[in-house]
Amino acid sequence: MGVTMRLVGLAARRPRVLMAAMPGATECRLALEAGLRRRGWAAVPSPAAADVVAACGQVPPDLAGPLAQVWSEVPEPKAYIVCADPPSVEADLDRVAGRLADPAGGPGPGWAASQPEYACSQDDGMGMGVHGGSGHGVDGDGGMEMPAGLAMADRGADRDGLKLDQLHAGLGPFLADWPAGLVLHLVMQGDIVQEATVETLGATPVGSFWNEPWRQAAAGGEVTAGMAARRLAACRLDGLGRLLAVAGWPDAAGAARWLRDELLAGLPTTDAARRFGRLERRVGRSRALQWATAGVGVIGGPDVAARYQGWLADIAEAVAALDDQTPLPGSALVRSLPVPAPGELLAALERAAVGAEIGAVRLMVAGVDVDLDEAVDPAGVGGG
Amino acid sequence: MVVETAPLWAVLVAPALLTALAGVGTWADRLVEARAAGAASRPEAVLTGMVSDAARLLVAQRRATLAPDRLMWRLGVVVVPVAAVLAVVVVPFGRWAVDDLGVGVVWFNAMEILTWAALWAAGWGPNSFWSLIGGYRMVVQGLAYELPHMFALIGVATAAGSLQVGTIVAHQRHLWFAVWMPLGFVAYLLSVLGFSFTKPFDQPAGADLSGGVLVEAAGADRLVIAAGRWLLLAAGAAMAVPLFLGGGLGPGLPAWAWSTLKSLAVLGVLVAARHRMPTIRLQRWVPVAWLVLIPLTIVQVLVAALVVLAR
Amino acid sequence: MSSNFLPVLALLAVVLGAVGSLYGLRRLVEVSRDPLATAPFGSGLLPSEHALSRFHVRWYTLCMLFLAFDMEMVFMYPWTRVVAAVGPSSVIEMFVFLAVLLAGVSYAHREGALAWA
Repeated sequence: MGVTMRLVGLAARRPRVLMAAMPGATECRLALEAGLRRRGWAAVPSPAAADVVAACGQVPPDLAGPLAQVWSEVPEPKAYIVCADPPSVEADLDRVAGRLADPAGGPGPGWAASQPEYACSQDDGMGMGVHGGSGHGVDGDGGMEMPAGLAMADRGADRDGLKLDQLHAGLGPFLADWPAGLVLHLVMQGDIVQEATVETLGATPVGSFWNEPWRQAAAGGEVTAGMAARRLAACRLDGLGRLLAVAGWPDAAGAARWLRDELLAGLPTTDAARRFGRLERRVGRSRALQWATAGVGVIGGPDVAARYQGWLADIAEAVAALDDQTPLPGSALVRSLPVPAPGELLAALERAAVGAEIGAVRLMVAGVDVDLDEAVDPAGVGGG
Repeated sequence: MVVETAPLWAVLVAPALLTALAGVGTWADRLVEARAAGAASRPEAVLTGMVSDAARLLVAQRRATLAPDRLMWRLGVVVVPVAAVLAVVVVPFGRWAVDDLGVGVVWFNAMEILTWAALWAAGWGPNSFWSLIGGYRMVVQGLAYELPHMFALIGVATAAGSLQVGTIVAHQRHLWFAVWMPLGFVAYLLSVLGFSFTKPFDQPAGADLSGGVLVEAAGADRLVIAAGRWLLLAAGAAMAVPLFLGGGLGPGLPAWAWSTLKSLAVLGVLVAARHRMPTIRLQRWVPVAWLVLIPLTIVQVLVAALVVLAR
Repeated sequence: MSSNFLPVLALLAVVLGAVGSLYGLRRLVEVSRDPLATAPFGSGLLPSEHALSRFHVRWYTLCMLFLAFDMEMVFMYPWTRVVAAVGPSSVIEMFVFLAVLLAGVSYAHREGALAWA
């Protein structure tokens, strides 16, 4: 056991973190991302690669089940944290490293709350025996073969009128670089989407973190245009980071997120302009990124390539206005909110995903500012 | 003789050298990425990260997804490093190759093609939606890079009139093939990125698939396939040296030193390419590969054949 | 010309031994002997059917095109060794054949075989 424990200790020096972003907790996610960067810990996209599951924000009841599912997919040694309070993220990360180095200590703070309810809450017709391995079996429809208690793919018509195997898959809720609380249920044939349905989980429209200065100004608070510009620039850098990560450019994504965090921490204008200039040259002039994203996007809207160029232009403008001390007018500027209400975007995504390759769908979602913290139009999609 | 078959104990040295090259590549790669993102990036911190990752994957609990195809899965994972190491049988280190086979170029090609099948199997095995799509993406990727790769190899073999790597090196005594066959060289480097499913050709293991073929790989399996990926890249970089850059030939330094320096330089170029751009989507790349790269590499072979006729 | 495959077999034994001992080492140091039986990653959701299925390969025409070229490659490797000996006729025949194949590629492209989504 001595060698094992030494190796476990070595592993705990650089944990690999699966981040589970919760709605209404953008600040927690930002604090966690910044914490990981300071320590040189990496965020990973799947449970098999992770040893830490970090819930960013309070876990809403309808996300507890999916979170428990993701947790159950991580191999030992593993640890779990809920980062619900941005200032205490550093302490949380210290604690989780301690847990990892000592596997006998249990999963981690805050875990017990969501675990037991899970077994009953997830049973919506997909009652597969995950923990038993061989499965309990489900009532099949009409004597269909069910190896390991799970149905085989059934056939459905494709666009050419052929009958071919269909797979049902969900994108989200806990996908890396994905809007918190969003689920896109897909019917797939091969790598092409046949049907897409949006569901939102855990969304409580508390108002987007990115729109905060405008909300405060509208409520009569004292907000300068410079403060709003800082938030807008950070918002666009956040979107850019997500898009670049999905597009498979971790260097540029990391640079965008780093600048975002520094801006929010009060980076002076000259430094911000210099560092943004470097990022803009790198990303804005990348032909490969243009090539990967041109023509991908929601129907009737700008494509993803045009979206990120627009973001870069927004950031350039905002960075130039960081020191603007004039007060932000109260209500006139609602039009220019960084993040819109997501209702229409979600409906447009549903339509645009059909017939697209799955990688293109990921780019599409990353290319629109979906933030479920803004109120979803009650007449629109969601909750279904 | 420029290249000779080494004594049998070289079979112990060659994998060690390849692993060292792959290790240097991984380290440089992580260093560059950490610097770009403002993460902890002292060189020794990056090394600690690598050791920590290896330790984690060794001690981690075994993991089996629901009803996997175990045989395919394990086979796919193991073949990746095995093919990479077997490919360097014909790659000379200075004057010595493990075995300077008469069909060396074809052997290298065959080993590299093994990984094509292996990645599909590794994607199929776990019975997972994401990795299944990743596995099939590797098949498309192979359809796009294999032919330019083969034409690049054939151009070299035509110019030397031989499939033996030693003879190919000897033919570059006066002029490297990279100098007068630049298209073949570029196509070869692109295909190295392709068969080692490395950025920008990493769609089979893409971020948009949460890791694709790697999504369910945990513990020792993940260690083996991730190491195999870097071994493949290193093997491709090492093979570029005898094929296009004159092998161990060079003034002043001993042959093994030239081999080392040139391999590191090629690996450096490949690692730099990883960080210069995002993933190239196959739907965009396939038409380019078939309509631009294949005709260009064919023209390259034609040029080589005409040069041979004129000699 | 060497065709002694003994070193190749020896290297195969070495690398299989290395991979095998890595798995063996894992067996010695792993934290738990019980494998984790888990659902495949579904970003928090459980799968509703097995992923292993008849994958809809929309780029199958690309495979056909590839096969045509791949058969041609089988001849081209030995061809490289005889270009000088046989002379211009070998080059003319090979490249006329390649031109025919390339014509096939351009036809397939016009028919949309290189795009699939």
